[in-house]
Amino acid sequence: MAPSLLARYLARRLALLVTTLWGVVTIVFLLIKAIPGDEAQAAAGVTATPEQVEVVRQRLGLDESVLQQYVNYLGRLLHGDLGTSIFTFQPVLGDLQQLIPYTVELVGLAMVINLTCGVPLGVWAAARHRTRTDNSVRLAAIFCGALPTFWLAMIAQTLIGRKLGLVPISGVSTLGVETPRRTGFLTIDSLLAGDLTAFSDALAHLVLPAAVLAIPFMSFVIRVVRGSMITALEADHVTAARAKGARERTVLLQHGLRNAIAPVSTLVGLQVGWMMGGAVMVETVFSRPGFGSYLTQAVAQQDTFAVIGMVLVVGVIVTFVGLAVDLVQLAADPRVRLLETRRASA
Amino acid sequence: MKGPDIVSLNVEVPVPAPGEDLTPRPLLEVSGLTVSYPSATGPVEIVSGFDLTVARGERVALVGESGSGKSVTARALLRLDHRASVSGQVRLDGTDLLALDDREMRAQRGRRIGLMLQDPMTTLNPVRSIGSQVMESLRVHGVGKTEARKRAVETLDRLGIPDAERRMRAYPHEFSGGMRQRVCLAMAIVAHPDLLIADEPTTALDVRVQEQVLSLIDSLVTELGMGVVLITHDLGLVAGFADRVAVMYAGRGVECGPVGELYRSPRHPYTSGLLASVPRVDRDGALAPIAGSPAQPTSRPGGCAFHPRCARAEADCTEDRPDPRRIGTADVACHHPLVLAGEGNR
Repeated sequence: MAPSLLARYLARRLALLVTTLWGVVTIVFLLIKAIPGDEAQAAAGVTATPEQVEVVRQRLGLDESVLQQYVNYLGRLLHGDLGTSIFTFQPVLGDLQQLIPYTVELVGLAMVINLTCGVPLGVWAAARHRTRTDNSVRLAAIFCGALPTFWLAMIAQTLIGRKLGLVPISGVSTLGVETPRRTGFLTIDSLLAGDLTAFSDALAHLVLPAAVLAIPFMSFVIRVVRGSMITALEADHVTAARAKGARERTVLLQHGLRNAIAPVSTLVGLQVGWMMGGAVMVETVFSRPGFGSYLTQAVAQQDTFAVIGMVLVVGVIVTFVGLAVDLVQLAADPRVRLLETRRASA
Repeated sequence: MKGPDIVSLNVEVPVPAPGEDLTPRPLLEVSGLTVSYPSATGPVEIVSGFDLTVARGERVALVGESGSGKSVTARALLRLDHRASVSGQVRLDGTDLLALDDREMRAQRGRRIGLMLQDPMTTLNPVRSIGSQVMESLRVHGVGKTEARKRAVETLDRLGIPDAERRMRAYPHEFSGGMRQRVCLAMAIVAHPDLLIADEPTTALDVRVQEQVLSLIDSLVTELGMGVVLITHDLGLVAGFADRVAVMYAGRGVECGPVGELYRSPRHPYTSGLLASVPRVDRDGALAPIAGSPAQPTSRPGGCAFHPRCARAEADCTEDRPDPRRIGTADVACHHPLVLAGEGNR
């Protein structure tokens, strides 16, 4: 694709992204307003007098009309202000900035585990289609997909954490292990500080929850990779590649997996969003700070701006992942490029 | 006969040692080839005892109806389908292909035997550039990138792809059907195999393009001294191209002989029926289709598989499977062949 066409493609996609985010913000704002109950009362606390509730209501701007509150909120959003939590009285953005790295770290490692185990297993099953290997992998995939996360988390804590004592079962770092915060990501900060003890400590706290989070997702990756690989491997160009004398590994990767990238990348893009949701449960069971505890609390407190801010951040991450997926497909498949070129020049 | 090389390649021409038998050894000798596939009800024999010889520079057509085992034979010669169990003997220039291990067999594919498939729309991988796919035939046999590129461009150029150097970067969807089939031919012959197996290479093309592709194959035979096995169901195509024709029915060779004689005086009732059912402009009257339908691999009749459809069948045809024997210039597997006056039935 020519650079100018690529620029137009990106511009169009970014416009779409902004529209999507505006939609997300609006829907979440309306949903929060639709929940029965008085936000001012919730913020002021159950013991507050009616006068105190009114003071809080005015200070938070909750005395204005819903439309005015919406306009005010959008205006502040444009200035990068996600509002103030009516519970912590802290700026939502500040709270989230501290918490995002924990969840992103968790979801990131879970995705790495998900792909490094799921993709090879799917490829292996497809290569051994209709054999005992294939059947075992398929059965394992179905089993993984059927495990409830909270149960899996507790079993993993008991077996791997308590019985075997391999890794810690809660928190993000051992008491006394300090890491100077720069990015907020414990693994990255410890590496930046050159502190390998802190790094392995952070990783040890991360690996079990990440694995627990990854396992149900792996089930889908295995099945989608296997299915699309089997279809891809039936193609004539695979026979042609074998007839050229290509190794089976080359055939599987260059003519099988490469052609199966589209459905797999689409699935992975969706999974990033689902994993953010799944992280809530895992973070709670493993007592990790992150989106999970914050969101649970914010919803319970009817903390409008905290919830919207949270959803917005997740929305931004998910839409950018979606864009990344489309770019991967653009790079992987010349037919997609052709389609987009035609659309861009139309 | 060997013309100028289309690209610089050291073709090793075997020099006979003094005192060696100087009668030319056939390039390909297939005898008693039997191919069966597993099924729910046990192995099903698709090809049962098939014989074929091809000399260097010879064009042999393998003719039969759909399901007669032509394509299965082609794939079995290259041992492409690991689910198939192949027995008998396949000698390429004296090497017994069925005795090679996987690695040795891979070295034969593409380099000694090239395979061209029916549908150029599916034989090329849609997500890889045509250059990389033609080069792959050389790269998998250890040819360096620069050398492979040079030879791929030369071959595409030789096969009439305009602006080959630039078109190397193009993708299959940017080519017409005829051009794609030229690319497929380039993939099959770029490594200068001794034998080209073309499995219905023109079926998916329109008539004018069919002729172009066939004449390209024809000129390559002369230039490279390749042997060619052309698999087809199009008897008209065969007449203009092949030196020799092998007719297959229900997984066995029923008649094999020089093209002229075979067309003029077919010996096997099946060959004769096949020729009578070809529409011709120089002959009046209705076509004479062969009665009945081809035998299914799962329920092939005993004795001669053709006997239920054969007007000349007698009692022995139902019991005793005829072996090929020489009649005139042809090898015919029939108890009651069509015999010319004065020839006698030996």
